[in-house]
Amino acid sequence: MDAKKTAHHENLLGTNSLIVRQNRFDSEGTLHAEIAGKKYKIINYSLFGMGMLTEEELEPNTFLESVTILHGSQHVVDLGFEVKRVKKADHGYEVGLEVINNTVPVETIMRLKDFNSLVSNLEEKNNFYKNLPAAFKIALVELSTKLESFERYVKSFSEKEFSNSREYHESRESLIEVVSRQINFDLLAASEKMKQSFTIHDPDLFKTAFAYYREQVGRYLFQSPFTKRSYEKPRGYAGDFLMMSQIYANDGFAPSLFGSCMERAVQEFGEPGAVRNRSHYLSEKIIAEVKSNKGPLKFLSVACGPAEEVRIVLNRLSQEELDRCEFNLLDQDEQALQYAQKIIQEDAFKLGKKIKLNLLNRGIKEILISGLGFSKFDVVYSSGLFDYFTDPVASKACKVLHKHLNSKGKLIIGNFNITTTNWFGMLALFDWSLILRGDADLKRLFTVDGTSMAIESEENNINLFCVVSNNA
Amino acid sequence: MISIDTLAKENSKNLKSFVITLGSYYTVSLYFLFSIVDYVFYPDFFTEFLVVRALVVATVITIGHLLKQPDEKSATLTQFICSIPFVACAASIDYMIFRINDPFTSYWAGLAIVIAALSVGFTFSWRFYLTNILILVVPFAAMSLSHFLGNQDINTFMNLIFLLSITTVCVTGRWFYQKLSLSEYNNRKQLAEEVVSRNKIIEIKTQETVRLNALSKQFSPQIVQSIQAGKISLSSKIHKSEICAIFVDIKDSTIKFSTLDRDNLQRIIAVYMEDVMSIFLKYDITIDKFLGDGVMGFTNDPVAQSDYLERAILAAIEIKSRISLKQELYSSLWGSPFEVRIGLSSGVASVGFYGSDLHVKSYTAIGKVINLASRVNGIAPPNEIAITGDILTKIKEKNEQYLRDYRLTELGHHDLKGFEKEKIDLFSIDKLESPAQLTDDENCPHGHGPLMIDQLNNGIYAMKCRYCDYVLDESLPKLKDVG
Repeated sequence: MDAKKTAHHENLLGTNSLIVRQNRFDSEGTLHAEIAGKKYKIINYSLFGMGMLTEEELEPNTFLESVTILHGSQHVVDLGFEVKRVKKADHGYEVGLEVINNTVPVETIMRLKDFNSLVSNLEEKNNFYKNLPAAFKIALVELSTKLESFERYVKSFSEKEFSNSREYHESRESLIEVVSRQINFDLLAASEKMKQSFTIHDPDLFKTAFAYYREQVGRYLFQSPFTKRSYEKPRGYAGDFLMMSQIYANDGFAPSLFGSCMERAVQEFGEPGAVRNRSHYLSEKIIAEVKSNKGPLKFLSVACGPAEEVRIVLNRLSQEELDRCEFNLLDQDEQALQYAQKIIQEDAFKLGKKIKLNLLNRGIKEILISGLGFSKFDVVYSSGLFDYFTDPVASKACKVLHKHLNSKGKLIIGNFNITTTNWFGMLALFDWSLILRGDADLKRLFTVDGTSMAIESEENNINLFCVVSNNA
Repeated sequence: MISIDTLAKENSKNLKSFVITLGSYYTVSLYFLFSIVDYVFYPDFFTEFLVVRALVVATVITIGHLLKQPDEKSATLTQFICSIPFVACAASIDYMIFRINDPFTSYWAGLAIVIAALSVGFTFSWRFYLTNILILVVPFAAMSLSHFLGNQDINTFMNLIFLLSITTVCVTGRWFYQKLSLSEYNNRKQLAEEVVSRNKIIEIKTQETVRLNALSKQFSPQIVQSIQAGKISLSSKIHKSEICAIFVDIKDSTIKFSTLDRDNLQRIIAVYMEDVMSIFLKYDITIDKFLGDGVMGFTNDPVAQSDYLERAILAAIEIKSRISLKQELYSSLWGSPFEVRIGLSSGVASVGFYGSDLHVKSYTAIGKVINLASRVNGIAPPNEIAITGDILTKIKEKNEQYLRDYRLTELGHHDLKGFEKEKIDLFSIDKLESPAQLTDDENCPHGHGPLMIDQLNNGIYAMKCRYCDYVLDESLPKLKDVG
C-alpha cells in the first residue's frame, strides 16, 4: 500500500517547523469505526490518528472514549480519540481524530488487508476451479506429489559425494535414465486419468483444466527447456525451428539435474520421437527418388523448419547425386531459413560436399491463396504443417501444392495420427493444439483427380504420411 | 574580428600618433642638437635661436599633449592642430634665415626637411597638405625674391628653385603614396567586410544546423530536408491544425520498472524507443512528446498529408507487428511477454513551437485530441490498437473500400476521463495481411463476403469471416473416448 506522505497530521510540536511526519494510509473502504453501536467509514489513518466520515457534526475537542476499529467484520482494536477538527464534506463531515494514550496499529491493519486479499484471491481461484472433475484434481495432486518426491530425490543425489568424475557421470546418467522413465510413465498415466475424468467435450473447461494443471505442476515441468519453450512460444507460434532442433538434438540438456530428467522424460514421449522419425522417413523418400531417377530433381519442403531431412540426405548421397538435386526450403520464419542454411552448409563444408539450396521466405497464408507462381517440383513435402490446418484449409493446401508438381511428381503430406493417445498431455503440457487425422481423413481430404494415393507412417505409427503421386 | 574605421577617422588617428611621436623626448632632444650648429656657425645668434627652438619644442609638446586628450575631435580640427607643429618649425626656420640674412645659409634645407616630413606618412587631406606646403614655402619664397631683387644674387633664387623642386618631388611622391595607401586601406576594408560577412554566415548556418539537428529528432529526414529547402515553413506562430494523434506505451511498465534489472531496463527501453520512433519517422509522423515510456506523435503537421489518418493506422500496425516479431528479445529482457497499447484519435489541435527562446523549444501539439489519444490508449487491450470511431468515419467518407482490408472490433462504451459528456465510439483495429488471404470459394453464411485464411488463438489455421465470429469447420482435437 502506498503511503501518502503529504500528511495533514497535527503538528505535534505546535510549531510550523518541518518535522518528520508519519505516513498516512488510505483505508480503501476496508476500515470502519464503531462508536456507540454506530458504524462510520474511516477515510485514512496513520500512527497517531485517523480521518473519519460522519453524518452528524461532532464538536472539536470532544473525547470519544471507546472507538472500535473494524477491518471488514473483524475486530482490530479499541482506542480512545480526541476530535481535533471537523470539516463539511459532500456527504457529511470529515472528522480528524487524534488517538489518546496509544497508537493506531498500522502494521496490523496492513497485514490484515494483505491476508484478506490473499484469502479472497484463493476463494476466487477455488470458484474458478470448482467445476473441474474431482478425478482430474485427484490425478493432478498425485502427479504433483510424485514429481515433488522425484525432485527431492534428485536433489539428494546432487548433494552426494563421489570419489571420481567417472563414477559421478555414470551415476548421474543412470539417475536420469531411471527417473526420466518413471516421470514419463507417470505423466502419461496422469494424462490418461485426467482425460478420462471429463465426460463432456467443453473447450472452456479444458482451458481451465490446463491452466490449473500448469499452475500445480508447472514448476516441475518447466524445468525442461523443451517444455518451457513449447509452452511459452517465444517466436509466437508452436513448433518453431529451435524447438524442432531441440527435439532432433535430444541431448537432455537442462540447467538443473531434475530439469535434465524432465527433459529426457518429455523427449521420450511418442510425439517428439515421431518428429525425429519423420525426418528419417522423409530422407528415405528423397534418397529413393534420387536413386530411381537419373535426371535433375527439384524438391520443395513447405514449412521446412531446420530441414533435418536435408542434413541426413547430405550425409548419405554422393556428390554426383547431390549435383542433380535442388532443395527448395520454404518457411515464413526468416530465422528458421537462416538456421537451416547455416547448419546444412556447415555440414556440407565438413563433408567436403556442395549442396544447392534455395530459400523462400513466404507466408503460409499467402501461399495458400496465391500459390508459388510457375514453379514445378518433383517432390513437395510438408511434415509439420497440415496438423495446424482445419479440414477445409488442409484440402485447399493440398490442391495448391499439387498444382506445383511435375507430371510424375509426388506430394507428401505429414499429419499426426488420430490414434495418438497423448494429445491431452500435449495440450496440458505444451499448450500445443494439433489436428489429428486417421487414414480415412487423409483419404477424404487429399484425393486429387489423376493421382494415386498411399498412406504410410514412420516407425511408431504416430505420424502418418499421405503420398499423392501424379499418374504419368 | 577586424574592425575598420572610416578613412577620415583612420587618417586622423594616424596623424595624431605621428604628431604625438614628434613631441616625444628623443625627437625633441634631436632638435636641440641643432643648437650646436647655431653655436658653431652663428654664435651671436645662439641664445636667440635657442629661445626660438625652445618655443618650437614647447609648441610641439603642447600640441602632443592636446592630441593625447581622449575627447573626440573632428577630422578638420585634428588636421588643423596637427598642422601647427609643422608651421611652427617652418616659421622658426624662416625667422632664423631672416635674422642671419645670408643667402648662402643652408638653413633653408631645414624647410626642405619639414616639407619632406610633411609629405611622408602624415595623412593630411589634400586640402590641408597643400595649405601647409603653401604656408611653409611662401615666407621663404617672399624672402628669397626680395633678396634676389635686392642683391641680384642668383644663388638666393637657386635656393628657392631647389626648394620648389623638392616640394614638387615631395608632392608627387605623396600623390603616389596616397594612392597606395588608399588601395591598401580599401583592401583592408574589403577583407574586414568579408570576415564580418563570413562570421554572420557561419553564425546563421550554425544556428540553422543546431535547429535542424533538433528538428531531426522530431521529424523524418524528408521533412527536415523540406524545411531546409524552404518548402515547409515552421512558422513561429502557433496555428490550428487537423491532426491524427497516436500514443504508444508499454503495459504494466510502472510495476516492471521498479522490479526489473537496471541493465535490462536500459536495453529494453532503448530497443523499444528505437522501434517506435523509427516507425514514426518512416510514416512522417511528428514525434510530439515522451510521457514516461509513452510516445506521442501526430500526423498532418507540419506537412499536410492527404492520407494522414491512414499513416497513423499503418504506423500503429507496424509497431504492433515489430514488437511481435522481436518478442523473443523483448520478453527475454522484460522477463515476461512484452506488450504495448496503442491509441489513436483525431481532431483539431494548436500546433507550433512551444517553449522559451532562451532554453528549449519543441514543435508540439496541444489540444483535446492529444488527451483523447492518451485515454484511448488506456482502453486498448494489450497488444491491440484502439481507435476512435470518427477516424473510421472519415476514412470511409474518402474511400469506402479502404477498411475492407482491416479487422475491426467494437470495444464498447468506456468512460474516458475528461470526456465523460461525449459519446465516443471505440474500436480495435488490425490489418489483414493482404487481400490475398481471401479465399475465392468460401463465403460467410451471414453475407459478409469471402472468408479469409487466418490463425485462431490456438495457432490453428482456419477459414473465418473478417467481420463476424464465423469459422468454417473449426476442428479441435476430438475426445474420442468421451461422450
